[in-house]
Amino acid sequence: MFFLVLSSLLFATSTQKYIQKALDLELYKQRYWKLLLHVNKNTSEIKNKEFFLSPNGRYSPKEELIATIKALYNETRFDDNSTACLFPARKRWLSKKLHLQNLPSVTCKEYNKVLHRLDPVSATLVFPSAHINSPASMFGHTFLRINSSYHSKLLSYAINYAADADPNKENGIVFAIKGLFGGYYGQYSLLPYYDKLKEYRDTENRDIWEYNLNLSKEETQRMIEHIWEIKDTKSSYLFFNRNCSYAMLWLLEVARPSLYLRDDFTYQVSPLETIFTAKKEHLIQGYGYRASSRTEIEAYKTVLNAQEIAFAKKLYQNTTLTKKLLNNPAFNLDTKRYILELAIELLQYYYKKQEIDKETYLSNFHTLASNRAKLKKTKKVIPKQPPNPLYGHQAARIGIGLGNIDKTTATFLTIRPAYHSLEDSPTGLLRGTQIEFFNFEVSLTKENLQIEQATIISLNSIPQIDEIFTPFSWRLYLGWDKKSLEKKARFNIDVGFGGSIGNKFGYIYLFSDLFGYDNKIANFGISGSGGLVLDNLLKNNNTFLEYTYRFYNNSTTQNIIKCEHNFKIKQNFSLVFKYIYRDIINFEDKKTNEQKYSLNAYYYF
Amino acid sequence: MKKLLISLATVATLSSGLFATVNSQTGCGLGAMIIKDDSTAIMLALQTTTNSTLWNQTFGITSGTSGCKKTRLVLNERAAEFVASNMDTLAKEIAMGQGESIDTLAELLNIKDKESFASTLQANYNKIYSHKDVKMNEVLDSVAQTAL
Repeated sequence: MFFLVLSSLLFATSTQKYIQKALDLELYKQRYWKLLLHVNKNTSEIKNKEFFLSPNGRYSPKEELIATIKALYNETRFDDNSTACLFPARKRWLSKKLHLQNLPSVTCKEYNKVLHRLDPVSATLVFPSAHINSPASMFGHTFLRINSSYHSKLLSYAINYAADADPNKENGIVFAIKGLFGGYYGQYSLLPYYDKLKEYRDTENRDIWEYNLNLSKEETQRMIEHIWEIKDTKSSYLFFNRNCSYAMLWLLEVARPSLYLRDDFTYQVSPLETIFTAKKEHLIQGYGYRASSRTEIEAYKTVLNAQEIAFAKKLYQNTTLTKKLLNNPAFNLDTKRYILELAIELLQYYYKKQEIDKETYLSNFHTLASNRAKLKKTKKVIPKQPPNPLYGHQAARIGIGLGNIDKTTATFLTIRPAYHSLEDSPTGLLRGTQIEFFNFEVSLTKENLQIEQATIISLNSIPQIDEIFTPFSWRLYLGWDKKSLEKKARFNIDVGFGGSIGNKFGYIYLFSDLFGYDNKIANFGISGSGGLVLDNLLKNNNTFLEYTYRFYNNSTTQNIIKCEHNFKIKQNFSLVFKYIYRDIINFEDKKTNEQKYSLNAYYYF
Repeated sequence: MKKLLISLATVATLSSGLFATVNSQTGCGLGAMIIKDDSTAIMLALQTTTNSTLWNQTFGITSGTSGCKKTRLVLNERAAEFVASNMDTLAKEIAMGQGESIDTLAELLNIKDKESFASTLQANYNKIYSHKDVKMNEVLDSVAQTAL
């Protein structure tokens, strides 16, 4: 009894000694302690009571520090529920700073199991890029991959941060609103990398970019220790500034506290922009590319002609054609192999889109695969790697230009917070995709200042129809533009559908639109447009041409011609020539026209 | 300033979460893939990255072979997990005689000559995938019989 009292007294005095030392050193004010507690300003962003050892821990890093030291020396549990096992990063840092001695012995079985499985050696920031027909997905997503000593990266584990929401259970609008305004909690998950690839690469058909980080083994392990501390915590999930990328940046700062990555972002954290930040901070040392399932399918166009592709498209649905394939003298051995491979890929692609039922899938897969196996190996069809998103222009754009509006000299000023239009250099971004927010342009002449455009949102998705897929194109516009019959800018809503074909140099498209204006002359109508975009004919040059014919509700017709040429001087700097012709009705109610051209300098940042 | 503008811009993003319902079919055979049920074109077009959890994502190393019948010849938990979760990709690659998943399986089974391993598996495709409803344990046991 006496001994117990004596030893607990001794423990108490040494704990007190360490607490005093910590207070003297003001450890609770140090950046690393605040990083571990996820303190922003003076409050932790973490909401769980269980994360804090003191009742006021969420609001007081000082009280939390004292409570942590006390808890480390007064363990009541000695397994994974001990303080030392729950907070390995805190324990390590405090031990180092205070030279903690004689800590109680604990066994962290679960933690060690995870650590052993993860086998952390280094880390990679993974970026699934945009998928077809979804311009908004251009913003992307980021998660971390923890590389192990296995050669195969498929065996690595991925750390992901996502909203704790089930889109199956929620109404879409509710989901969107809650995601925007904090109705959800975000939580961390740990998954094998192959499962993330199945999700993003195979099901969502997104190309994957992997950016290898130069974190040392020690830095990576420190990050894992901290992830273990926060794995069950909940913070508010907000689409803009408390999203996946924000969480990843925080983890990187814990790995290397000399990094201040989040400072680059105030109200919004865009995944692709965080990769630019990582590059700026010299974190990236090399990258990798994984083509999506759809990109791999498209690559078969390089080894099969149109008829062969057409055969594959019939074959995956009707495998009785296999015999006909194998006996066809017109097909050489490689062609037979590739037709079977393409058929298998298409079968899996359409099964995932639920256009084929499971029984048909299993049966057809078995026939195609066993026949392919009999034909032995050949050269793998590998898609050409597209330009790295890191070589694309950044999200915001400002411009200044000099030109003419109907023989009057004018200066043009433009600003656009995000993101990309068909006239910008397409390097690193999905072809035919446009997403613009708040594109604002004014013209200054000797007489006046005029609004040229005030776009709220403009979305374009123009994928090309080819021998394999027949996607449709669509576009949406909301905002003020100068395309009506009136001289002034007017509020416009425009929705269009169409199609496009192309080759490696560029593409052409046809659109049919329904539009409506808030103006005096004529309010709504339909239009037909034809466009040509030469985005890959001459390096660093992008040419855009569009002709539109409009038919208004008062039977007036209108021609609009638009030309733009973007000459890229540097990654984030272009010279742009613009020309617009449109028919208008002047103040005397006479039909006339307006021509506007300018030479502009665009800077992206 | 730039970030303020970008964030103001993003405020206007129309984002929909219900663009896709995801059915994750768990299973130990072929056809156990993540399937997305694309709903209307508009929803699909307006979606941003959902970032939502697809299925019960816990934070721990749970066995991917729970519910699967155990292998007889191979006592390699990670190999079993890998095969169970990658049945379709593995089958496709074995049919083609090459691929990253085959190389990964070789690494898990400590096989040095990955190329011969892949060729042997390809030559024995019908032994390994003997019928369309074959399950992980049969596949891995057959792999062991033919290539180990």
